[in-house]
Amino acid sequence: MSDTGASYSNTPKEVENGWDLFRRLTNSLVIVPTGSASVDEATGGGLWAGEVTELVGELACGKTQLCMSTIVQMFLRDKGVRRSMAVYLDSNGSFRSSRLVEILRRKKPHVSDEEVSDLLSRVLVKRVSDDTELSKALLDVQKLCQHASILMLIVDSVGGCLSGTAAKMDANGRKCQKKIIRQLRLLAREHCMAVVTVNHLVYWTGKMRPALGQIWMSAPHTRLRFLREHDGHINVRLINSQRQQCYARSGECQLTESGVVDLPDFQPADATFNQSHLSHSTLLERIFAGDSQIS
Amino acid sequence: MSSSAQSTRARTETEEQEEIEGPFILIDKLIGLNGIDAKDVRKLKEAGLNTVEAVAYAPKKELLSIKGISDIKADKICAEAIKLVPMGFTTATEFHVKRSEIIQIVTGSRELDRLLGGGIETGSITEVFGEFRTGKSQLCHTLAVTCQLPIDMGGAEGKCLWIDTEGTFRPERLLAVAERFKLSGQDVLDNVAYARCYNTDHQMQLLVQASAMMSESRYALLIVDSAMALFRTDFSGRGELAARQTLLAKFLRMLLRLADEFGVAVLITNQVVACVDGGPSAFAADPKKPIGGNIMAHASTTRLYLRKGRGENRICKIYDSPCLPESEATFAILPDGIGDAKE
Repeated sequence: MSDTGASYSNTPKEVENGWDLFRRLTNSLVIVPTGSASVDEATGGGLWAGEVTELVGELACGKTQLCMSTIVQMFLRDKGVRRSMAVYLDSNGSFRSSRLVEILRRKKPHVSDEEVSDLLSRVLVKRVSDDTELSKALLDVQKLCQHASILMLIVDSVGGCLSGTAAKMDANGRKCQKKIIRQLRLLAREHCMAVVTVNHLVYWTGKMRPALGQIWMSAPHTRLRFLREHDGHINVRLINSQRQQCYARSGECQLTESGVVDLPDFQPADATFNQSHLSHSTLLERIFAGDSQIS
Repeated sequence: MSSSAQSTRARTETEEQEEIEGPFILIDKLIGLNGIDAKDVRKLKEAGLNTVEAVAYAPKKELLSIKGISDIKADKICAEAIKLVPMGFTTATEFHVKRSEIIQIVTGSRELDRLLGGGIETGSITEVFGEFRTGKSQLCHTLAVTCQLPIDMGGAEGKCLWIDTEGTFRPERLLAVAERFKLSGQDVLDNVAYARCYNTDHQMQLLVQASAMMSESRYALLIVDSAMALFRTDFSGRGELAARQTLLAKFLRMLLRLADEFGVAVLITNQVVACVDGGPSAFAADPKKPIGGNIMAHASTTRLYLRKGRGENRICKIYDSPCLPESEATFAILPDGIGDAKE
């Protein structure tokens, strides 16, 4: 199978029919698991490459931790061949390399020092503090794509970066948000990345909604809401999706030293869903076999 | 005691003689490059850009707003600054090495240090919030002294800059803490630069001065006690909320930049309100939340919640942190600063 980085940025033909489009989009279909099977179940396997996924939630309810544990999962899953990398754009200094190492050591007890340094060498970090810097960094990521196969792009937090554009929703702020949305979608679609944005919730007339206003509402393809429950567990709920029904799709997980993990009493509902790294052929087979769960 | 006092003085003297070598490049390096002259650099300095990093991180918009810097000149300055400062991505490997060199400043209480993984981190913003009389300002007073300790004793060997908006700074408290750590009281007071601040514009202006001072000598800690008080009184009501939050975001961004550029620890205190709107924290047992909204929440890297315990004891809870687990520690407010709880 064309499982190398070369197949990532296969440019679209001038005119393509639905089948071509489908083939192009699913050519290197990758789903990065989050580390918790329960959350994966709710989101259809994890974070999808080619989509913009937004994590929204209150303070300290595991959004950054989910990003970290997904990076480690991506590393554990893909050994050697692809050498997929992750880019972390950090707005408030919350990236901690020591936390990545801790999660890796917990997930895989006898991990060698080479593997630890391999993990760290696959994560690119950059500080961004506002919309102009974010936009510049996204352009840089586009350039980087020509040299490395980047599988994940994390913007933590987009709400912090773009807060200047949302405070006064004037024409300039709107233009700026639209530009960022276009850039994020381009990276997701053309370079087949799993783009993850982290955002916070605001309260407006008694209702909770993601920050950054109306335009941003439709920016991500998938949106997950994090809610901390009384017992300390975290409820992750699918609230927007362009791919599947959102009704009653939620997962429970908890935060431990080894990142975001399942609750001890979790029972997987559907075993076939656990094989999240669907290759091109198996996906096609399943679609032809009439597997309704995929569409 | 006298010997250690002498050594402190000796250290400050040698420090002043040597050229300060920090993680930053002074802006004077730009003079002579590509037609940039001393006059331009002076203009940049007046606008609060004292290091090459500051110029490289500043959006071009900001350079253009400086009086006397033309469009072409701004382009030249940007281009030269970017040559000197690496602006691209770094791998997590380099990041990890850099992180392991980060110094932490001890708080004076062993249990609190253990909770924080060694103390208050340099290079990022730590926010402490709680009701009145929960030890926020006392923590500031202790840290203003411990940051001057040598590195092997848990300090950062640097001076302290204190921005006071509520008039709570008490030098005699610093003397008491200095005595406990066997430092000379005179030196400790000399090493704390203090500014009383009266309005939000002044508060912004002080940060511009702060960056000038930090580029001249080694500072380790910047305290803003309290960060929100003036924003709360200068702006009132929903009508001015957007303006307030915009200015607050600018203020916090300047703080973040100072932490990044000069590697100082930034400690800000914050007040709390009882949560009345329908947020999820309204159902919690202790419905208090820090003010400043999401803008504040996203700027501070570590947030600590202080509350009263029995007697002189205070309880510190980690409210939000990228790497510390959620847990609590008890410390005490003693006559000579923050210390271990007695029980």
